[in-house]
Order: sequence, then structure tokens, then C-alpha cells
Amino acid sequence: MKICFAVFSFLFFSSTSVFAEESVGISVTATVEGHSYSSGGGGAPVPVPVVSYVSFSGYAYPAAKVYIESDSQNVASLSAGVDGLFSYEVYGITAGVHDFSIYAQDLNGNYSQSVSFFVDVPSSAITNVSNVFVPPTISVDKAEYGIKDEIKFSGYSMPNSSVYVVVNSTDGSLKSFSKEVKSDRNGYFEYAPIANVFNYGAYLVTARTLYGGVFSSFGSSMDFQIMGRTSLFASRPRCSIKSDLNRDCKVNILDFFVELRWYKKPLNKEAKKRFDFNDDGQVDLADFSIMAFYWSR
Amino acid sequence: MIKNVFKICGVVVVFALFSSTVFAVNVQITAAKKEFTIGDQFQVDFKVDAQGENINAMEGTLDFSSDLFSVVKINDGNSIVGKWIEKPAVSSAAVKFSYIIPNGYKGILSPYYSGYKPGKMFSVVFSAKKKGSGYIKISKGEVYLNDANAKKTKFSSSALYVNVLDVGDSKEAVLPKKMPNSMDVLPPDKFVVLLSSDESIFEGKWFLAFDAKDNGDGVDHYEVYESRSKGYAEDGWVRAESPYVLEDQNLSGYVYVKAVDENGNAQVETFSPLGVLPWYNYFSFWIAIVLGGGVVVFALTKKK
Repeated sequence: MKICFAVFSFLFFSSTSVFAEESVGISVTATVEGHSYSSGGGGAPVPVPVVSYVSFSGYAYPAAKVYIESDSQNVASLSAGVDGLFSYEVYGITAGVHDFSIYAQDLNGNYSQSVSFFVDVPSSAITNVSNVFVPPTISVDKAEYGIKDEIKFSGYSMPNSSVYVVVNSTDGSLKSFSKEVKSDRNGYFEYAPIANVFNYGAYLVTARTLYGGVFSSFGSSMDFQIMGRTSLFASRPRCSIKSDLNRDCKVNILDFFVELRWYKKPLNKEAKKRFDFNDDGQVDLADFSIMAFYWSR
Repeated sequence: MIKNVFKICGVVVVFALFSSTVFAVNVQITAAKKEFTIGDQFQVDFKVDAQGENINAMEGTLDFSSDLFSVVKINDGNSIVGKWIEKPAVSSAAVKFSYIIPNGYKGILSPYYSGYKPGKMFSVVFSAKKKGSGYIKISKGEVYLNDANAKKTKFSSSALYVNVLDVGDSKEAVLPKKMPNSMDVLPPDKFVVLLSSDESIFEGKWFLAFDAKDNGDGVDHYEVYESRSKGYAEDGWVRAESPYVLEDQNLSGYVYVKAVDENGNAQVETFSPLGVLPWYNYFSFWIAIVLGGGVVVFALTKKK
């Protein structure tokens, strides 16, 4: 029975721990509802309508620029403190369900993956959204490496925190590789292995932060390749995300509506190369799912 | 004894494995009641329970007993849908739909409960037209996780069964009930209008892209007004869809885009393409140069 219990515990724990890791821990509360009251001149209290707003707070990187979007509209841009924390009150958001996205731009100008969540904003109330944990940025200095080259992964995170740099091969041939590094007091982190730690092939690197016992979600992914020797054309092309069709470094409605024109339409060779993100020979919901994943700014 | 332990263990393992795999993204189909009389209109809500997953794309077919029900209206206000790929339209038969949720969806957070709750995908107002028992369901559902590889996850949805009675058979209904008129007085939210061109569509012509959200009944349609000068008139708006190919490919004027909700409330956004092209592409600059030159020449000749 002990074995039985152990097996059950393992299975239960392993299934629930996935959810625990995925949880970013966003908390939503309403602190005031209806009216507050003030009294003046000794008379009866006069109801004063409370101006409702949504207050956002959370973790980013020191001095990062933090952007708040509501339903794909930018509603605020602010600077995080030197401790990486941010907070801001956004007025004028109507009651109802809103899709909020929060992302950050680090000191090198790189953007993070968005943290997105839906909130049912009540009317006549102050809604507090706290514990928003912006995932770390990550960049790779080149697109291609020789097997003996040093690869430089770097980015920004909460200061003095553990950052897990995770590398996966795009074809699944390499078991997920993870390395814990520490960010400095400016939030900067770096990991520079020699390429032969991996092997020849194509890879994706991403990162997540562990701060105060809480994991952020994974940040955006960067791709790179390891070849026999260093390519002469190894510099990283600007705006390399495939679903960024107009190469403006943003994936938004401009790309969406262009992609939509090719939805379930016959594709020529050029169109396949450009619009068929998952190389299955057609533009279908799977391609839009990839676009939705990379959606930004 | 050992055999029994193994048996129990086996059951526990199967249960544990089963319980961890039964989670599937679920579309809940609900109505205020399940019994109506002929002529009644009733609203059916379709909500998405992500069951702990982070999803970003879904498609399916709204299927119903078309001999018993007809679709009166589809409402996508206050919805989790980010961008429609195929927006469900009023139809007498099955309706296909597909959409994305940029950056993913786990559920709806609120100050009034903890954790995530299912969010509305859309609501459909049906009309009961014939006596009988019928179904309303989502078939051919597919759903994708919010990841870089478009990984599919499990989809589930149970049909809603509705009985339609003759007026005389009903214990409660006396007169056919229409859905009440909308109380929505708020316009759609402010929205972004973006300009672009792409060699793969519209022969490379300039087009505008826009997408508004309305938390009432949903956006009904868009209208566009192109003008050489600032401001717009009441007349002259044309119905439009996004993407909208600009009439004025010289980008020399102003464009106004109006999002109108189901109840007629409107939000207008202004877009000025001025400054997108180099200055010498704008007719008004050349007029200014010619006029300015004329004034200078006139002043010089007058002086002489």
C-alpha cells in the first residue's frame, strides 16, 4: 500500500506541479465599491462618487520601460524602479471583460514576452491587479555559431534573482537543457557556453526567473544554429520572427489581416515560404496560433 | 494479499492517470432554461473553460436542430475573442467559426472570486419555430495551446438539449417572448487604426487595418470617411471592413474610421497619413511652394 500511495502521490504531485509552475500568481482585488463619504461643515455626510480605475503592480527589471495595454490599445507606459518593481493606475477603463497585456523593454531596447490576462472589471470600483511578473528578456549575439564558438545569451530580469536559461532543439533531438545563472543588481544576466555543449542543429533559447519563491512564465524565444564552422553571414537579421510579415518588429493586426488573405487559399512557393509558418503546406488555424503566440506591441 | 495490493495499486494508477488526462478545454453551452414555446426567443451562452491550459486559437461549428430553431442574432460583445478569423454569422444552418486570442487565455480573473472562471466566446439568440426536442452544440472543435509550435490540446463540449412546446402545452408561457431590447448606451472602446501596404495583397496598395472592441452587444460594422481636409460630414460615410484599401493612394488627406455597435453607438478614430510619404509626394506642399514663389516674384516685381 505504501508503494501504491507513493505512486499515487507522485502522479498527483507531478500533474499538479505543472499547474503550480505555470501560475504567475496574478492577484485581483477590488478595494472600494460604490461611494465613499465625506462630511463638510458639520452637516450630514455627502456621498462623493469614487473615480474608478484599475491599479497594476508587479515585477519587471530595474529602470525598464513597462507598457500596459488594454484590448491591444496602449493605455500606459511607465518606468520601473531601480528595484525592478512597478505600479500604475489606469483611469477610463469601462466595466466588463478586458484583455490586459503588460510587457517591458530592457536597457538594451529588447522587449519581453507579454503577460496577458483577462479581468472582469467591475463598475464603480477600484480594481487592484498585483503580482504581475514580467518574464526576462533574452538575446543571442549571433544567429549561427561554429561548434567551437562561444555563444552569448544575455538579458534582463529582476535584480539578484535566479534566471533559468533553457535551450531546446527545434526538432526535439536534444533533451531540454537548463542552466541557472544569477542576475546582478541591475537585473543583467549572462551565460556564455561553448557551442559544443549542445551539438550541430537548430535551437531555441528562452528564460524564466525565480524571485521570492515565485517563477515567472517563460519569456520570448530566440533561435540560433550551430554549424560546422562560423558562417560569414552569422549576424542576426533584424525582426526575425516569421509571423512578423511586414518586418516592423511587431506582430499585430497589420500582419494578421495580411495573413488572413491567405487563409485556406492555394499557396505558391513564395506564399508558402512567407505565410505557412509551420510548413504544413497550408495557411490554417495552426499558423494563426503561432502568430497569436508572438503577438506584440 | 500481494495480488490485492497490486490490483488496488493498478486501480489507483489508472485513476490517477485518467484524472490527469481528462482535462480538456471545454466549451460550456448554457441557457436560462431548457423549455420554451413556439415563437419564443432565447439566449444561449457559449463559454470557454480553459481547464488550466493557456490557449490561443480555437475553431468549431455551431450546430443546431435547424428544423426547430433559427438564429436571430449572434452577440460577441464582452467576449474573450481577440481576432475573428471566421466570424459566425446569422445562418439557417450550421455556422463555422474560428478565432485567436493574442498572447493566450487561461480564464477570467475578477475581484469577486479567486482563480479563473470561463469567459464568454459569444451568445446566440435563437427563435423556437416548431414543437419538438432539439440540440444546440459545438462540433468539430479544435483548440491550440499558446506556444511557438501550434500544439493542439483536447477539446470537449456537451450539447444543450432544448424542448419546444406548443403554446397550449406550456405551463408558464402565455405569449411568445422576444428578447428585450438592448440597454447598451456605451460606444465601442477607442481603437487603433494602422496603415500598411504589402505586395501580396491589393496589388501593393495602401490599406488601413483596424479592430474595435465593444463590451456591450459587440461591434456591428465599420464606416470610413476619407477627406482632403480636416473634419467629416454626417453624409459620405461608406461601410467598410478591415483591411480597407484607401481611395486616396497619395495619402494626402484625413481618414475617419467609425466603429458602430449593435445598438447604434459609435466611436470615431482619426487617421492622418500625412508624414508617411516624403514631403515631395504631397500635392499640398507643391501648391504652397508655387504660391510662395508667386508671392516672392510679385513682391520683387512690385518693388521694381
